[in-house]
Amino acid sequence: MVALAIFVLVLPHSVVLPVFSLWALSAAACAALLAIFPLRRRTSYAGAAWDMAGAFTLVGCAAAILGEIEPIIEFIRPSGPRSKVND
Amino acid sequence: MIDLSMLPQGAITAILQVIMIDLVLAGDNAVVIGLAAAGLPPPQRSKAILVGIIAATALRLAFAAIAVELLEIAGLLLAGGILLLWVCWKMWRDLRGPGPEDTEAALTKGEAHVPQKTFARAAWQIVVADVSMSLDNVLAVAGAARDHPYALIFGLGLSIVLMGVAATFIARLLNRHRWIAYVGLAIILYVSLEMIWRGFWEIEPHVFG
Repeated sequence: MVALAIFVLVLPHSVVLPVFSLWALSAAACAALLAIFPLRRRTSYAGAAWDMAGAFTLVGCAAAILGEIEPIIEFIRPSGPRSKVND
Repeated sequence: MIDLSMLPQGAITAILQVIMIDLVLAGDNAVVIGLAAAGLPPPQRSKAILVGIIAATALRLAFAAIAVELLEIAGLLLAGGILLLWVCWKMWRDLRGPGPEDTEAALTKGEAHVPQKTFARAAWQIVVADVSMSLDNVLAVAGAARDHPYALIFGLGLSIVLMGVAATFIARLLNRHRWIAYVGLAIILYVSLEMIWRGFWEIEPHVFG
């Protein structure tokens, strides 16, 4: 949560949602890996881990849909004049 | 191990842009496929997700081939938005209907006809939604990677993997917690209304002035 708060404060406002989406999808991948390869064999938390993976995916997709593509393309572009994005 | 220094800087930028665009635009396809496949039994669910991915890939390839011609057609976005709105309505009706457990219970009680989500209906919803959403993706990716065809191919492959994995996770979640499907439906409704809004302003000069 602290990392997320730092993200929001440090990054330009226009790229917060795509970065958040990337973070949520990475978290979904981690949750899915935990569901497939549980750390403790005796405890069964695969169901909860799959739920987490689905929830993170849905949140990541929603953030990606609500975000804009143009600012990200501008942000990635290494050289040349950058057009002003809506901060 | 891939040596990225061998690639020109423009190609790396194009690949990064394509990754981000695919991430942003494969999301809505994944939600629709997951939403449509959620009410089905597990074997049919996998088939529905596969149908959705194959349809989205074929449509993207077809749209990419005629991207320039498509750009000249006014009102395409508006039509796509309305089509997606219709899919939302169908999904809303499916959600309001009985779930798989209710249907099973009703059949054990001996009720003659219980409306149930079928594979054909789910596949149809997915294909119609793919038609309206793949267009946006193709135009954005083609714009970012027009000088780098390998970035375009990489983007297509990435979006297929993203859609498949994300749709499977979402369908699994919605099958266990049906109420979350309303959240997914709200996301798709937002996408369709946004397409209608952008489509309206696209045709406005042609209609009013």
